Amino acid sequence: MKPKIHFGEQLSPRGEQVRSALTSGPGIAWVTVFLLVPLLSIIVISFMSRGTYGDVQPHFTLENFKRFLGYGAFGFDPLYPKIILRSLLMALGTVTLCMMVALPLTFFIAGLPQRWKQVALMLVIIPFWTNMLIRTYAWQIIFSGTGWLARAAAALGWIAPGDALYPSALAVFVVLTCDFLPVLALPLYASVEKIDWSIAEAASDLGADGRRVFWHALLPQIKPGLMAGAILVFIPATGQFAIPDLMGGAKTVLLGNAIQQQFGFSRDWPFGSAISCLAMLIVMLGLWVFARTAGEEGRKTLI
Amino acid sequence: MATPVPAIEVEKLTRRFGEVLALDQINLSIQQGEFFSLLGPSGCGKTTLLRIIAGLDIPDEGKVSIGGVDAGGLPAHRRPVNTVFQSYALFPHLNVWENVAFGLRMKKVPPPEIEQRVRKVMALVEIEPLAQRKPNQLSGGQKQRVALARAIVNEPQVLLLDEPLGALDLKLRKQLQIELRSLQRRLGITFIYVTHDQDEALVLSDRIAVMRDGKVEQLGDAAALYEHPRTRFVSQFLGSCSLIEGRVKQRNSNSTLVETTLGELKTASAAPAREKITLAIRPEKVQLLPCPAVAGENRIRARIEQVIYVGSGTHYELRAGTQPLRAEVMNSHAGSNSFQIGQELLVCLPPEALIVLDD
Repeated sequence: MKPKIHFGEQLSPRGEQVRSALTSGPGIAWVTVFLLVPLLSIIVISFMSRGTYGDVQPHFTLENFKRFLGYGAFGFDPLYPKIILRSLLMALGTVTLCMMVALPLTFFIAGLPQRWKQVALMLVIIPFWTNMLIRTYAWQIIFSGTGWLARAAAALGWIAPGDALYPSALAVFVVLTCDFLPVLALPLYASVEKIDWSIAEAASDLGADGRRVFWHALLPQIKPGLMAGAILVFIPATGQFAIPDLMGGAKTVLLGNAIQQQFGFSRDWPFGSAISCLAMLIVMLGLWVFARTAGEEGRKTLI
Repeated sequence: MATPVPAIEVEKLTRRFGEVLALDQINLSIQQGEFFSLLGPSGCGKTTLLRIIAGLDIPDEGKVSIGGVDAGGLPAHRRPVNTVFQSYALFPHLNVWENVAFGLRMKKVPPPEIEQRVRKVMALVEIEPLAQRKPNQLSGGQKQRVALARAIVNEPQVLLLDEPLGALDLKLRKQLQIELRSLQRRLGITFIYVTHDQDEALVLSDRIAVMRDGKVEQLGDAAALYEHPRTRFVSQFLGSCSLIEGRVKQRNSNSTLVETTLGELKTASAAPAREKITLAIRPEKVQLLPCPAVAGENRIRARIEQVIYVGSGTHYELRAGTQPLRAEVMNSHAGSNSFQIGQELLVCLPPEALIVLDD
């Protein structure tokens, strides 16, 4: 009889099952306990109703979703659609501002000599090591009436001396942009670093001026990084509410604080769940539309 | 009759990269419709010169005129020249058709005309079936053709080619060389071709400029460069040569007698006005005399050290005293050249084949 060559050991079907349970089991269990179960319970709770004392009662109802869309007890009031729209606009604004800052920044860093690149990247990342809230409080100091930025603005005659620069929309967007900048700049930098400049030269050789060289030869090359960064900023920015609260003066309700309000202060878990479900749905819808328009590369970035 | 305006005129062009002098006071005049090659080893400045003509690099000193017009202030995208890049530099996100149409789109040519010109050029370089493919779905040779089509569709005054066949295998290279040559004849566009491959330059060019360390070492057509190299560098870079050092012994009106370690050699050319000179001889001009042969003018005794059979011919490495010599003999008749390693024989160096070098 010819000796059989074994590559690795032979396992019985049962043995194989045990092994795969051991290797992939913990991961599956983690995702199930901490992601799938909470997600499912939110979906289920969103169809239930609130008891008198804020408890969740298992009566099936569509009331929460109707209320969200604006059909409340007091007639039509598009409060929540407005909140959603406001959150999306704020996220889009943040993404746009981050791109406008990150594009020149990453091209600048990529053009630096090798050892300075490391330093520059470090400077981009360092703010990330600080807690977001602490950073925001630091911004409050800078923007306050006695802060150097406000004093500089006053010296230029933009505001009255002694006035603070916050709460204001400007402060909200400045802080949001600075906070999310590294999230967009890092994947973008990875793309910018890899740019094949001979393609830009080819475009210029074929009659493209500076603007069209960027549009036709550079942008397509950095698109994957730009899109990845945009998604990474867009998703958390949609749910962001601490910064608008602290820098914008807590006057505007956004998705994040609307949800927080329902689960906390209002003790209306079913309605909070309904907002969460719809928010997730809207973000996923947005990503789907994005993937369709960005084509093949966009889909690859998403996955 | 007025002399026609040169396609490219380069005057005193100098380019420094830090301490390195990439181009050193280059002067060149390239005629309309010429296939002109810049030949030299890597780092000789040939690609830098091409990039300056294209407008992709800026000279420190000097002037470039394209079709008689000073191109100094013209950025790359406004120059009537196009480049075929060494790495092809095709747009990875565009398909072949869009790649070829790119230049015309940038110039805002009306779409029906774009359609027609792209189709014509794609037929010319035989890439019509690839129209919808992306560059990453093409082979090296196909990419080469697309890069060529993308450049010539713009009907440039001058086409600049930067080692376009460098990345291809030998057989494909030979085939594309022939196609390039016939394409250039048909289109009548001036081609400036950068290469480090001497065979390629010899096969393709009307004229060749051999470059070294940022200078043009010698300029001429293929035959002139091959038959009359002026320097050691040119004689070694274009083909190979055996070099023999010697002293001028006697100058005649149409010949020179040179004293060398091999004895007295007569050369048919006039010697420069100095005593120590270098003679060069092409290996195929060295005659191996069948034994028995009698000693005579320019006949020297040598020993065969190495025999290399290359199919069409046989190469012999010889040594005459301390002087190495190389000979190449065509295998025109079966078993015609049956010299053995170690054999002593007489070698003839014909006076008209002995070239006197300038350095």
